Parts: sequence; structure tokens; C-alpha cells
Amino acid sequence: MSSAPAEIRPTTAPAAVPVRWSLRFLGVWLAILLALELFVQSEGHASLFLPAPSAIAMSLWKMIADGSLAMNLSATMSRIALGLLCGAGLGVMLGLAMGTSKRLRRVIDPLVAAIHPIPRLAFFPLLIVLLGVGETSKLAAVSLGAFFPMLLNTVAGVRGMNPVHLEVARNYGADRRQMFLHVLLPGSMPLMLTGLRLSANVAFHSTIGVEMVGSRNGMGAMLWLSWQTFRIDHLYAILVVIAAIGIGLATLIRWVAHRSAPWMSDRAAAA
Amino acid sequence: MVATSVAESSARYAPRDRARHFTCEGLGQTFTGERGAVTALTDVALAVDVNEFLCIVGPSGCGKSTLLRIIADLQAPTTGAVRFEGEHAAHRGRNGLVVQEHGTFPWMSAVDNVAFGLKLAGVPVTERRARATAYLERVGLAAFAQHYPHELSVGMRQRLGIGRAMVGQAPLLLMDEPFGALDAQTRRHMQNELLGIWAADRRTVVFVTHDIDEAVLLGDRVVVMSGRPGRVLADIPVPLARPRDFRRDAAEARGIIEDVWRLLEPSSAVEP
Repeated sequence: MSSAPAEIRPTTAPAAVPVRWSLRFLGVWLAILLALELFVQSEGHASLFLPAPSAIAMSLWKMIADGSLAMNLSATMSRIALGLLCGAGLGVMLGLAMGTSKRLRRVIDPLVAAIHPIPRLAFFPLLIVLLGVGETSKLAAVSLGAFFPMLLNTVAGVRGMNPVHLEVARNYGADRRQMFLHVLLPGSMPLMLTGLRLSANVAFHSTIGVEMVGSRNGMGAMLWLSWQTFRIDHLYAILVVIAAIGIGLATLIRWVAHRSAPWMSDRAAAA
Repeated sequence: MVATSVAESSARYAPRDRARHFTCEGLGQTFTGERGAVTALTDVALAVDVNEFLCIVGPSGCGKSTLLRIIADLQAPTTGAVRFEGEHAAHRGRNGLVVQEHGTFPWMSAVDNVAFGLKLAGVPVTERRARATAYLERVGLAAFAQHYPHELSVGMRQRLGIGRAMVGQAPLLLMDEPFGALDAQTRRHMQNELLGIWAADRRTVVFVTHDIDEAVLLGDRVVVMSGRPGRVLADIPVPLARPRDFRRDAAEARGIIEDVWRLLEPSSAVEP
């Protein structure tokens, strides 16, 4: 008999450094902001391209006060959420079907191979032509982005199942439904979670991109508007909010991964 | 053997049931691949009794794992058949299968791993938890019920696999080199443990290994297979008393082990 099959581990690029709310994290940022503040103030006047952190905070506060931040933030968040739900949802379903059916794989693999390398945003004009300038085309663009990482990783997860686990389950009398529910699904969970993490990332990026190009609301639209009206302090303030969305999203996905695959180490779940 | 010693040992250990469990008749397996056909097994005949501990030993690539998979009904033989006697026919393909250390499900806690077969069979949750816990205790893992396999040592994972195989009362345990990945010391320890568990809860065991010492020390009978194509070279009874004591039996076992080595020498020499 040959040596034991290696435990299947999701093979992914190293994860981004997760934000840990440690004293060190806060300390480093406080120091940078303080230094910036002192530097800008010592110039005697607020620089046009480098507003003082206090000025950025001020314009952020104004956005909160007049309600424009809440309105645009919720528009962005709902686009990310809906796009991720549709895209990753379809991706996981088709991925499971493709993972278990060779026939389906044979038909769809060539399509995926041809479409997947195209940058997501390149589809946006076509989607506007097909679906109109409304919310549908934006949702489609975000979903399309979220779809592929989930699909590819789900297929890889199912295909990469340790065959020993399938045989053991068969030997203990698992029928098709039980095999799917108790073996195939949890067995491919590590890679599906990798897919979810990548999908969430793409959904986030696509949403901001789509909003910059063709939307009246959302953080992307706000960002673009502040560039066009040359409100540099707004630009910085909005970037801070966008960064916060990214951190929040990554934290949420880590939490989901930890909840749905508690057997994986934290490190693997974050990867 | 003197009558008293037989009476003595049968008082302590239930005598082996001589009823037949299953029979392999003329088993052959040919795999057809891109580079032509490979014959893994040819004309394997084997009769296994109820509650017998049978070890299958042979050089790597001799098809002993293939033979086990055929008995487990995970694979259909090209020729021949496995015939289960009487009520055992109902358990066809529903055995206690133990494989190397990656056989336990990493996504289930120890207790859920053991309860897996019971869950599939629709045993209510409280009952299957209780039964699984009892078997965890039997394999010495009671304190680790909520641990995931990656939190256990390789030896503990292997005990977990054995517990999972036995909890369903499957009359036939099929073990495919279960201790193959263990270091020598842990291996010896696990062999003792397996014999202890088996003595307390007798089943028919088919145990595949490439370790001749292991086969002789565990088995009631050692089936020696030749290199490819695999066929049965010899069927050697092991008349060592049970419970086995590896140190006490060492001298007696040595002779049998030597016999097996001699059988395997020429066949392993022609291995490519």
C-alpha cells in the first residue's frame, strides 16, 4: 500500500494581515496621526493635498451629522451584501453540482476558463446595455465578481475531498443525501470558506468601482464626487470609511469561517 | 496440548466460534489503465470463521488492500465472489472499516466521529451519544470526547477509528494497515490495545499489514500473499495462547515469523 494521502489543505495565497485591535495597533496609528497633525499645523496653514487629521475628522463628522454618510454607506453595504449573496450563493450551488458531476464540469469548464480571466469591471458597460442604468446592472456586476472565486473554490473543495473519507462513509452506510450533508459539505468547507473570503473581497472592490463609474449614491460615488469638486478633505474622510468597510468585512468573514468550521485552526480559517 | 490447559484457556476466553463468516472464491482483479491491464489479484480463495482474527501479509503492491476493499464491497472483483454466510449477508458492505490515520473525519468531534454510523442508521441523538461515549471509554478517549481529530495524537486518532468501527456492532472489522503510520513504540502499544479491545468485544477481524511480526503477534491465522499478481502463498495458523504476551511469546513467534519471511523472500526478490 502506498503512503497515506496527505491531508487536504486549502492552498491559497497568504492571507492579508488581519487587523488586531491591540494597543500596538492603536499606538502606531495614533503616533502617525499625531505626527501628521503636528507637521501640517507647523506649516502654518492646512495643506491642500494633505489636510490635517483633525480637518479630516471634522469633515467626517459633518458627513455623519448631515446624514449623507449613513445614506451612502447603507447603499454600498447593501450592494456588497446583495451581490455577495447572489454571486457566492449561485457560485456555491453550481460549484457543488459541478464538483459532483463530471458531465456538468465538461460543459461548464470551457465557459469558466474563457470568462474568468476578464476583469469584472469590463463587463459593466455591457451589463448597463443589457439591464439598464438602474440597480440591476450594478447588482449583476457585483454578483458576477463574487461568483467566480466561490465557484472555483467550491469545485476544488469537492474534487479535493480525501477519497478515504468518502469510502469510510460509504462503508458506514451513508446514502446519497447523508453523504452530501455529512461528508461532502463539511469536507469541502475549508476551500468554500476561502472562496467566500475571496468573493467578499471582489464584491467589495466591484461595488466601489461600479459606484465610481455609474452611480449617484454609495461610497464610490461620494469618493468620485469629492474628486470632481476637489474636496480633498472629503476624499480622505471617505477613504477612511472605505477602509473601515474592508476591515469590518474581513472580520465578519473570519467570524463566519470560525463559526462554520470550528475544527479548523484560526490560522487556516483566516487564510 | 494437555486437556487442562485447554480448559483453562477456554474458561478465561470464549473458545473461537467455528462457524463460517464468509468465503472468498476465485477472486481476481484486473485494472485496465492507459498502459494496459494490471492484474492485482488472481485466484484468491479464503475462508474466514466468525470471530477469527485473520491477518493478511505480503509485500507492498501484492493486492492485499485490494482484497480488503473487495471484502468491504467498495470494489467489485473482476472474477469470483465473496459469499457471506447466513445472517452475515445482511451486513454486506456495512463493516467496521479502519484505515490509516486520515480515516477519521476532521470536521467532527471525537464523540461525533464514533457516533457517525449510528447517526446514519437513525439512532436517536441521546442514545447514540451514550453508546459512542461508552466506546470512547473503551478505547481510552473518554476525556477527549469534544476534541477534534487534529487535537489528538496519531495513536489516539487511530483508537478513535477503531472505536468508530466497533460501536455499530458490525460483526466484521476490516483494518487496512491501521498502525502503518505509527512509530515502533506506539505501534506495539496500539497492538496490545487492539487485542485488549477485541478480547472484550469479539468480532471477526481481517487485518491487512506489511509487518510480518505484527501479523503473527495479532492473528489467529496469517495469510501470506505473493507479489503482483497477488495470490495466496500460504495460510499459516498461529497457535500462540491468548491473551498474547509479546515478550513471553517472542521465542515461539520467532519460528513462525521466520517461516513467513522464507515464503516472502523469493517473491519479493522478483518485485520490480
